[in-house]
Amino acid sequence: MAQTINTEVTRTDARRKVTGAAHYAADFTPAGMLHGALATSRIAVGTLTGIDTAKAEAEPGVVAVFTHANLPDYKTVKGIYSGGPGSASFWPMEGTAIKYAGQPIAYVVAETAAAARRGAQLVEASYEEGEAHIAMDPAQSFIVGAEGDGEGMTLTKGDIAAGLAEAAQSVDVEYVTPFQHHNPMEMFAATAEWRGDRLTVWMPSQSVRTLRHGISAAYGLPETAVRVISPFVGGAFGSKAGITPYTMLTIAAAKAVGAPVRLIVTRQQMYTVATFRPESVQRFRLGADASGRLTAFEHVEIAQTSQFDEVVNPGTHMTRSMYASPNIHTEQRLARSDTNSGGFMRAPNEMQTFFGLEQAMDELALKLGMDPVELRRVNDTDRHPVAGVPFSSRSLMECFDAAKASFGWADRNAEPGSMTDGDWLVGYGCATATYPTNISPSAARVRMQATGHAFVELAAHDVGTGSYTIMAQIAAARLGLPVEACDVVMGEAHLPLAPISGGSTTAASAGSAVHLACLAVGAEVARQVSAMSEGPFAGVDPAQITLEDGMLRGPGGKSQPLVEALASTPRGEATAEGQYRHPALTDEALRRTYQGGYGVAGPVTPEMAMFAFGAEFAEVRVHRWTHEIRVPRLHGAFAAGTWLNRKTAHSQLMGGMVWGIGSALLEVTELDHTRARFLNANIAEYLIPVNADVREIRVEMLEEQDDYVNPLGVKGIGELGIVGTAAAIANAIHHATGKRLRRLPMRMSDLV
Amino acid sequence: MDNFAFFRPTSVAEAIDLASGDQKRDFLAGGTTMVDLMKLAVQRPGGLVDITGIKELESYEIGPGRLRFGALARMAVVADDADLREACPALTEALWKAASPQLRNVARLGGNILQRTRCPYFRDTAYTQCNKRDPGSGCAALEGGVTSLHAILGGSEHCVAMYPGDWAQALIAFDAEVRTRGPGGSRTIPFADLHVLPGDSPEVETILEKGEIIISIEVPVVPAMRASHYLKARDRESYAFASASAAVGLELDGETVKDARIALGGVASVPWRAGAAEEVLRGRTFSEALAREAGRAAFADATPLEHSAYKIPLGADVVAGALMTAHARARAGAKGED
Amino acid sequence: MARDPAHPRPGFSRRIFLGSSGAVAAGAGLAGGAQAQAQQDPAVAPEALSKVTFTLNGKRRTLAVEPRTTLVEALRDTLGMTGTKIGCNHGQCGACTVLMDGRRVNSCLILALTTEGAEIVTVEGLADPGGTLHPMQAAFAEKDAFQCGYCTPGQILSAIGCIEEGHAGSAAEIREYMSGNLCRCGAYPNIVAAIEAVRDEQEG
Repeated sequence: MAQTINTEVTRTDARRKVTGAAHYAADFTPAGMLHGALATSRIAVGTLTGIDTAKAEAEPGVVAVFTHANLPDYKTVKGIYSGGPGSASFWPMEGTAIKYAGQPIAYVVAETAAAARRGAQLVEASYEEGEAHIAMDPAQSFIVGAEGDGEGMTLTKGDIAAGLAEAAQSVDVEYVTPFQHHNPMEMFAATAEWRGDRLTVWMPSQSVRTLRHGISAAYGLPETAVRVISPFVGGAFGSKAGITPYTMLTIAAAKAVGAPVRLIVTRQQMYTVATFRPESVQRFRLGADASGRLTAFEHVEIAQTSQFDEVVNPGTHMTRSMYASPNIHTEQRLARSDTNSGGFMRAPNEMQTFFGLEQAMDELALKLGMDPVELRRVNDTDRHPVAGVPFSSRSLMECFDAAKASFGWADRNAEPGSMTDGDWLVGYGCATATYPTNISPSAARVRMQATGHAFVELAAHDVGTGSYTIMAQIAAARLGLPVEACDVVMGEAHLPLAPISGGSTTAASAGSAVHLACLAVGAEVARQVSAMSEGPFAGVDPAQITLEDGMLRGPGGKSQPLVEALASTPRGEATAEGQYRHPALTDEALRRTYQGGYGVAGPVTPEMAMFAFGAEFAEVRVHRWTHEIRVPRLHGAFAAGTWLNRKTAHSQLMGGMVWGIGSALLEVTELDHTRARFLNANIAEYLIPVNADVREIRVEMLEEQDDYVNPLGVKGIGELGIVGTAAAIANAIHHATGKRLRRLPMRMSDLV
Repeated sequence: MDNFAFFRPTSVAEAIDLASGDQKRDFLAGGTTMVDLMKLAVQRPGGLVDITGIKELESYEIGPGRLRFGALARMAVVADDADLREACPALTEALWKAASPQLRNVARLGGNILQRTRCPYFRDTAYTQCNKRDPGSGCAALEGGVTSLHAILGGSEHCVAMYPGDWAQALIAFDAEVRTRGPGGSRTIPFADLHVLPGDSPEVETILEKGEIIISIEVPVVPAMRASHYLKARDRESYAFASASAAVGLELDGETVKDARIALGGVASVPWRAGAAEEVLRGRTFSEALAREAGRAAFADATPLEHSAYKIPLGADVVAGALMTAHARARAGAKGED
Repeated sequence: MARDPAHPRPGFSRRIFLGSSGAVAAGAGLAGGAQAQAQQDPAVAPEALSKVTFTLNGKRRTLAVEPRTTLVEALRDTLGMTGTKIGCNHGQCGACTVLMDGRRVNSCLILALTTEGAEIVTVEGLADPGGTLHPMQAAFAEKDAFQCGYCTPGQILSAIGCIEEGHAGSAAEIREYMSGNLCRCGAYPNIVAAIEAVRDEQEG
């Protein structure tokens, strides 16, 4: 039996993806389907005083135009950050209020997509315009959850003032990060088909159960009447989790016209009808003694939120988990402005907060005259700095040492501006990466047949992460089958519970459920063969029979391949479900997950702190004449428990690092402050990295054993790769040029 | 997108007839700008005259004394021409550094030089103020907008939209001419006269008349072409518009500059020849300091907008850097001839 | 799904026009005018359907489209061939890349009527009839040159074009000449590796 875990396995869906046979949401076309298009608000704040749909309706091919006046009713739901399944708590087209630019004001249904889009352009609206503020005002910020503060939104340990007073060196610095948009390559799409009181929705989703829950609540339907289908997702990165207005409107329109309707949201509209990464300000005050040991650690994060949700991705929880310090103070603050609600975008707080923290550490190292790697080493800790519990595993310095060696850090002349190559200034920089290990409850059903095939079913998602493949690998390893004999079905809400594909939870959580389901299949087969009159396990107490790597083993050294044992049973087939729950998961988190929400154990449990770690090293080149900033080399070393598939894991980490390059140098959603609109709502001027921006990326995957996190020993890696990249690049820019850039993205205009 | 009447002529004469017959008709070549703007409802022609069937306009010649580019030659084809690369590297560099391979495969040279601005206020019809799109409506960029991508040269109080193209800079630097034919007959337009400054009528971008079709773009060969360079500065390594760019060429006599050509991209309302900067160089001994002086001179008359002040030092450095490369090429060429 | 707006959609007789009055003088008048104009000019009139014939993956196809129909809409909506993806609809991402007369193009910016007589190749036309993958498809699978797979059909066609055009000489050249295809998952180094592998195979 070939090794199927911790090895390189080609994606099981690769063939479908390279032949065009992988069907994404907009590729399903129910019979008689019509096309939808959104008309959106020109202004950001105010009231709709009139809406004229006559021209839109006169457009040939247009079938119907819906506005707040004639939209079929549904019950709106709360946004995710307010405890509901929605992408935001405010629902457009419920009335005349306008709360953000680009808010849907009309929905056009037509016979062709082109006619629907033209119809939407022809909708004429008049407004009474209010004064809008699209950028947050940090001076108006407030502390989240000040009352009770059960979630530790503010925290004080020791005495910051005293810690700073005793410091040999200190830094007091502010870093600014912009609005960013996920921009998955797949445009948002939803197709809705009603058949009587039964509804089918095709939509790219990273949480089919959240979607189903929200739709059921909105229409008062039992969840059994709502089918949500999302077998392939063309990238999500946090943008496809909550139920959005464009989905709800499509469902409503389909109901009203009595035919299936598909909406493909335009790229421009994608900037306003769903979530984004809110802008933020990160303030750090760090003090250290002469040896580099932190004496004070203060982090205040101010993040933007909408007028109708409190979007808090608590970054201070992450930064205060990083380094030992006797004195710690953190505050999690929000400031409101007139946008739709933000949300989570790949490493929702860690990208921003570690851009700040890991530059502050670099600035501190410079003041101390220390090697930045050594500053991390002296502040490394095996216990959580606040909770005091041990880390379940923490290989931070192993990562630093591995990446440092592979990168050639020893060749670095520490003096800023000292390294050049022709017309290029050269700089090296490094930073820490970390990501919490969030463990969600999860379930899976496995049906194994004596032919040597298995069906694995769960409501998880493959958003490009390789979930189809790793679930097949886990099943193959446990059941003793080839990977290709394990058929994985995911992306439908009626399948057994799996978490939101967010927070890097899927492999660890849903993978554990598949693991347990396979063991349960083993137990079922054991029960059957022990009850038989002949065979190696006849009459053996089934509780004494275990399944190990595809072999049933019993007392006295008895063993038999599972598939053989199964073949000996009359049914020749066994089905079992696995229910996984981390011991530290609360009942409340369990309930939340079953209701379509996000419930996890960790990263800090009463016993342990669970985090994955890494170290990233960047070489930056700044051109003498153009001031262009390029990243010819990026090396990362990571430790995240067990690697399931070294091929897809490598791709995830590498992809995260590419995102880091984007955040560092390119990505910003520009604001027109006067009129409160996003200006570069496209993917020509919202710059994401192209092939030419990505040169050498080296990913080292260190071995790490962690028996606490889950039965597989897996930590999530979907987001780890992006964390720290921007800081490593910023530190390298400083090394190359002597200029410290504290605002993302860092561009040539900052260096002229 | 509105629907439109669609015509497919196979001769220039037929195309001119069709396009001049109706005020709302427009020519369609590769369509990479036209179809994009039609989807945005920024352009709404009532009819499109697809001229790509006029095969005679696809050819081009790299002659010893003259370069001639048919209006329908594809960007990608010309960009890959080895003879042109040797004759005038700036002309190939300005092509392959533009857009993407897919767009260059489709876009034609005649359409490329007529590329329209990327001003976000022009492209987003939710903005009611845009003098270019809707004459007299105002300018959202100048009225409190974000101006980081706008022109610091050639703008007016009515419009500061930037000309986004690359190739035009290399053409204007080398005194190209545009041959056209229209209802009123044929004419030859100096490239520098083709585009017009926004002034008080930014909706007018060129002197081309209704139904006037570009036949070819021609460039007289001069020695400075061989030592030419197109330097394009952009945050993204590829598939991005210029933050600042320069098309330059040098002819040296020893180390003395005999001829200098400088044009600027990413900074001006129209393709922009930097005559004053050329004057700084002519007759003087080339040095890095002189290149920098020329760079500064190129932007002496620039008017920074609220968010585009960075383009002045950036543009000056880009000019200087481009001249350094052109100088190195001139030296290498001189050595090669010895 | 393009059709003559003068004729109601089959099986959908109920037209709903809520929110304002009037509206639908549409159909007949406009289409009639368009037909009249079409007789005068060698042209396709607005709102009229026109036939276009091209070769798609080796087979001649004739379809009726509106003037505004783009090639990608004709492929996906009219012909139901959904392998070609739309990522931006404005020529900014390359997801819709197909080969047209051997050149890679963004099918979202190509008007279907301008493809008369053209040879179009989409991702569905790459594997041989027996199901054997095109070498570029196989290399993409092997090198993990994608994650979500959405940009992949366009990447693969662009990669084939990149080699055909002679722009796969080095990793640096491949990176530059594959920059018209955005991959948000960040699989770029693996895409380059796949192209190098196919190039080497072809040269070998």
